[in-house]
Amino acid sequence: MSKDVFNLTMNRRQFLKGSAAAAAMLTAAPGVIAEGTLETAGAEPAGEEKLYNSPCRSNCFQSCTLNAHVRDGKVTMMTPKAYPNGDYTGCCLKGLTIPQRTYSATRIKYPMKRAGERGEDKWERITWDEAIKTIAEKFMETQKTYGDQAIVVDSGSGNYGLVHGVQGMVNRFAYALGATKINVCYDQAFGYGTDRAIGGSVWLHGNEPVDYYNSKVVFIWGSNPVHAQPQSWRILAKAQSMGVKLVCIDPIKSATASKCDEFVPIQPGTDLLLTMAMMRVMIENGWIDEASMKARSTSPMLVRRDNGLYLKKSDFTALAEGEEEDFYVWDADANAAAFSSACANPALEGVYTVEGVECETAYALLKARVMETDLDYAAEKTGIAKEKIVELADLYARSGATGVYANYGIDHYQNGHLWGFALACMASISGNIGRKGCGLSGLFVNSSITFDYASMYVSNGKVPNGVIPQTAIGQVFREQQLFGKPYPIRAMYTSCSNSMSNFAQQNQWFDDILPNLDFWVVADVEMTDCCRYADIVLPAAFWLEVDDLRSNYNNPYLTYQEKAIDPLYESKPDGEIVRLIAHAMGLGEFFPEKSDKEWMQVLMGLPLFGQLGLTFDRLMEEKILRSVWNGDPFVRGETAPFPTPQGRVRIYNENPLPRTNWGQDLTGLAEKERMPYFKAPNEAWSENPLFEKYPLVYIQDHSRFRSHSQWFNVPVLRELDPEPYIRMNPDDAAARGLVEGDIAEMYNDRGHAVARLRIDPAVRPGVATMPKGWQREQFIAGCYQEMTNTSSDPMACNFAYFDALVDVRKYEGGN
Amino acid sequence: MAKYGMAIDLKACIGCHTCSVACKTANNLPKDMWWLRIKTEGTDVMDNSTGVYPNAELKYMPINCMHCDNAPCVAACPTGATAKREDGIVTMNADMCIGCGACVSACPYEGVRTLNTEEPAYDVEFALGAADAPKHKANTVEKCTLCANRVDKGEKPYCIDVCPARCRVFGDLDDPESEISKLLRERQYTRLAEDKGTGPNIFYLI
Repeated sequence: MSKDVFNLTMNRRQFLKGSAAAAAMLTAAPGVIAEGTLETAGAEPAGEEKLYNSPCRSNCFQSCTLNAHVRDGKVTMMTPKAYPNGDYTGCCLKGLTIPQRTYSATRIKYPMKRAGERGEDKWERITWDEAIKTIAEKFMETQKTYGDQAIVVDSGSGNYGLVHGVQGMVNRFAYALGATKINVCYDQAFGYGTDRAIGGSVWLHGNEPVDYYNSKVVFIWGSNPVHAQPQSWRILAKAQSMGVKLVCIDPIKSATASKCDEFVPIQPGTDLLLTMAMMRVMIENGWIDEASMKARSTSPMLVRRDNGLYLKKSDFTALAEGEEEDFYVWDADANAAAFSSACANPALEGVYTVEGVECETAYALLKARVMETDLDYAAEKTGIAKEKIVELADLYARSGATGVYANYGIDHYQNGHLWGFALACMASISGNIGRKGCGLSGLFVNSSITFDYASMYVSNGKVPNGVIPQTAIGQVFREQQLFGKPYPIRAMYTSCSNSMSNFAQQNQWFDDILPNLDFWVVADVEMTDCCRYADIVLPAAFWLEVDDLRSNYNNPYLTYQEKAIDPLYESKPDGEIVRLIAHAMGLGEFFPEKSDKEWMQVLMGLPLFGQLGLTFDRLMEEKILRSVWNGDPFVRGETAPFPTPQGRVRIYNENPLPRTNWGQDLTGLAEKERMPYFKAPNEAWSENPLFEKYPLVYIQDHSRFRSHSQWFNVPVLRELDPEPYIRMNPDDAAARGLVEGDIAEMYNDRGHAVARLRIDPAVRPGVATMPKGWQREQFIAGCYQEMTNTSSDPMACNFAYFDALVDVRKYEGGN
Repeated sequence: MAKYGMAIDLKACIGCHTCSVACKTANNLPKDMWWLRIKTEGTDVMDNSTGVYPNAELKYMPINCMHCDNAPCVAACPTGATAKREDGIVTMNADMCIGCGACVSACPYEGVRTLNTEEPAYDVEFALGAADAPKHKANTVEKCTLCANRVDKGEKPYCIDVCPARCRVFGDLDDPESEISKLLRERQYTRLAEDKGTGPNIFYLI
């Protein structure tokens, strides 16, 4: 076995042995690193080095697979492992520190119970037996006293392993308990908005990243891939070198903006207004793609004036069993009503009466809505001159193929979902969706295969209550009510999640959640904010210590985590921990003792896997499989219709539903939100009276040193990035008498954070930023998450982190 | 005989520090030691831009030992610990180094060397990195070895292939067909402190 992981000679030998995977790696693009072994796990002689296939899985919106180098039973380093398409091969500084995380001096090594006040960080070591017994007793007592729903299961994106991570066994636990499973509100608005138009639920809007090579222009909108998604940036940069124009629209002159061909600075939270204005310009100038609208969108479909619903075949004729619904259009040639399925030239605009029902085309309705946008107002509020808006509309609509790279910056305002909806509509009317080089990317989630989650999750017939959004969980804890009826929630199990750090408005934990939470168990690898306030802390096994499966995003692969070392110290895999608790709660029959690999086979058990040759045995052999089969590159809406009732882009959504319904006030919204419109940000808005008191919009930087709160205390990274900072423009600092390096306090009525000041002309005047993910103990006082707001759009139910106003002053002491 | 050098595409570099961390881990560097640093141009504050919004600019400059043709450190070293190999790599022999700092004073490139004033300390209890990673000793000066241990086996330095932006190229400057030679013919480049006559072998593509 060679240590020469970058040695191509080694690979040529293996190639000759006939491995298809190795062959694919050798044919990958120049600069791609070859891997050194295809052997399976097993004990090695002393000093020998062995490589284990290890997908990094911390939800950074990248999916690098790394080689874990193991020598004398210890992980000594990580190196990037080649993907069949070498453009996807990569790693970042965080992934390379997996050994440091694995062997971290501060890693949680054994079960502990709280020995002081919550947050006091006093702990007593206990045995696993005591931990499991205590947890089972408390959980059963809670269920008996308050009902099944009184146990809350909280899981987040700390691990994307399908067995031990957020989609894994913790769900079987939540199901078997009939628990309250908190509805995730991270990054939900954008995809919820695009779903209004193109379907696919919250995550399935993106194209495979290498499709950027087919674009003429890519708008990088409210995202900073250079620092936040460097593997995606590499692909964008290659596209740029091929002649694709990159335009960055952002309030910050970010690292990405510095690399793009053009930077368009924008006032935070006004991207929706810009998009509506661009659509108006396109419509006024005829820069629309009528053929595409007729063929691929619901633009020509007739909408009833009496109830706002599409006019359907079933409105007049009962559908035969198995017959598909059809939609009415107005045949422009025949000047008569026709079915969409049988009309080549439908009218895009006009009012028509069909069987006595007055109707208007969907496009006419959208056009009327778009024309409500005042361009002068848009220019004033976005800070982008009218001429520039026209130029952007022209560039977007008439370049031949325009793509959008957008992740979750704009999602973090209360109008984020309407932006996703508007963007999809703009893409549709300009013909920039459903074909190569176009569409809405940034996050590509593989929808070509689905796993057998049902077999993994469902056991005793119980299901968790998943309607309460994270944005409202504080309120439900405070009121112990849901839908106006008693709804006690008293205990919580947290895994793969640092909710206390990542939920907005952190002080809600101190005010509402912790005082009503009788018992909190947290399983993790490091002492996060959650752990410090828990009652029992359990040592979870880290990524390399288990066998697991990952379905990647932003590349098209299914990857195998090949267990590289045994769980360290007393740690146990997350799936094993919930199995032990379930057994102690008398649910043993529903938690059979299966190995990680057996659960992987359960997940891969659906017929499609076999049909596609994506077998478990092949995964064990090759470790990385391309699991996107329908398109190369995969482009949404190209090889298959959009997953909407019409199979088209739904520029008019007849029945927009809230993302989750937990009893919030939705009056009038279903009608209003059938089409996009400009809704101002909730708080971060110049017309908000609070703006007088707190004149700065607070944006959380996505640092390359952390993903969310992971990697918060890796010493190597802390050498480079030792402490939190508050960042603002020189003019804003000067106006407050602040200088570089001052200890400053960012504050509003919800809380504060004290950190060193960084003065940076990249920051737009009127904006203050702070990187997310630092833990409370890492601040001089307060925390980055205290100033944010749980107030949420009632339809999107999403954390609007950036929809917050603050001010910054010199720190004068205090907590 | 080959003459090794490195080209770094500053247009492509994103300042991510992946190369720095790869270097640190693979060479098992002690706490607070970095052989490869990424400077943010025009400022001492990492990632800060220069200029005025919205025309602010952000640029990065990776710095490590330049493995100079006329290495002043070699001339300055009183013990012969610093030496230049035939293939151009400037090496440091920890067994011969007395930590006098003469090389630090002689070198015009700031931040490429570290003096171990104390016994090196680590974050992890065992040695990370490659089995043949250099040893680290108190009272010695350390710097980039161009991963001589790897180059001797026909491999490239660790920092090359980890780069997510693919901005680093290593190769034989004497081979006109090498990737680096071709790049230097095709692209404009600059070198640092050329006026000092050091003949640095790190080329910055601009």
